[in-house]
Amino acid sequence: MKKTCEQSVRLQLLKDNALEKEAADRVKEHLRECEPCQDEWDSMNALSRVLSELDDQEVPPDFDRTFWMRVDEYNGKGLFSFFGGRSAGRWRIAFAPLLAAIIMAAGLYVSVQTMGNKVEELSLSDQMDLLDDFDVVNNLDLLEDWVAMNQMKEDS
Amino acid sequence: MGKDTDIDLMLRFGQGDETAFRSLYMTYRKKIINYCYRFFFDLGTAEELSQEVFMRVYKAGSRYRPEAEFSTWLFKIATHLCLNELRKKRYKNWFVSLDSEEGSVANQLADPSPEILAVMEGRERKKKITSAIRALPGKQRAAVLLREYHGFSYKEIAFQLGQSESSVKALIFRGRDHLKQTLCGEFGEGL
Repeated sequence: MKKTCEQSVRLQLLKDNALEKEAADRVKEHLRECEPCQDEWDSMNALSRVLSELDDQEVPPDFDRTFWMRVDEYNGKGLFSFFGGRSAGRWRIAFAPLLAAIIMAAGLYVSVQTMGNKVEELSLSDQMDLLDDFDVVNNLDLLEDWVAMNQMKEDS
Repeated sequence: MGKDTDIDLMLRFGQGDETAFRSLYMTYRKKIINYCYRFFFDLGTAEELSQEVFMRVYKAGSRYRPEAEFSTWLFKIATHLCLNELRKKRYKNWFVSLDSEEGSVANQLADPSPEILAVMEGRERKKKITSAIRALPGKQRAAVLLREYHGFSYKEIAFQLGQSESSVKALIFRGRDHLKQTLCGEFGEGL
């Protein structure tokens, strides 16, 4: 079993250049005299040597081509390039007022259409006899109004 | 190329200079591929993650603010992607037996030449180192790789992992200890 020394934790800091010069000198001084620390020091260096045995991988042959294709796609040559990409920012600024105007016009159009439906529903309430059962069920609120209006007329 | 220049290049890229990005990409792509590779020891995964790292840098563009050295920031992105990938279940119970195929092939050869034996032993050693690294928990693995293979300081690794410097010291200490314990049986008492 290896002997240990409480200073051995500081060896890691020495190895990783994480000590101030003065502290580093003190640890080096201790290292010269302490056998367990020398063993630990050798062991740490041996581990680094072992780890360096793993070779570097070369860049795979298709890596660059695939990457630049992704960049092109992001950058304006893809289907939805308007919404993304580096140049999209400028276009977004230019088209923002136009887009806002289109959205507002669409909103106005939808609200006018909806108002039209309401007017139609109100006119139906005046001609309740023309409604079939299905329409009555769908316009119960109008029917209630109509009954209430008739009631008021009778009361008056 | 100095590290300050990398920040300048990234800032120039943010202002629309595409060649600045190309230069950064060429400088760092192999380093990032190797970092991701040593995290998983799977080239396909390393390739995918590395591409994502550079896409994120590209997308950052004008939003980039230099809060650390460029390489520190780049490896922070890579570390986060690797740790996220590790969290996915497919790697959780991934364990490669230390009984290598090469060893069994060597046993089957009646009289392997010394050269073949040396190659096989080399591959066997690498496989054992690979298994030992892969057995480390995610943050220990990241800290050890960033320190041993890329030479980042504790402060830089703390930024990359979002931990305090003292946590990083502990992670590296435990990681190395773990590796020594795993490998000393195979590589002798020197470890």
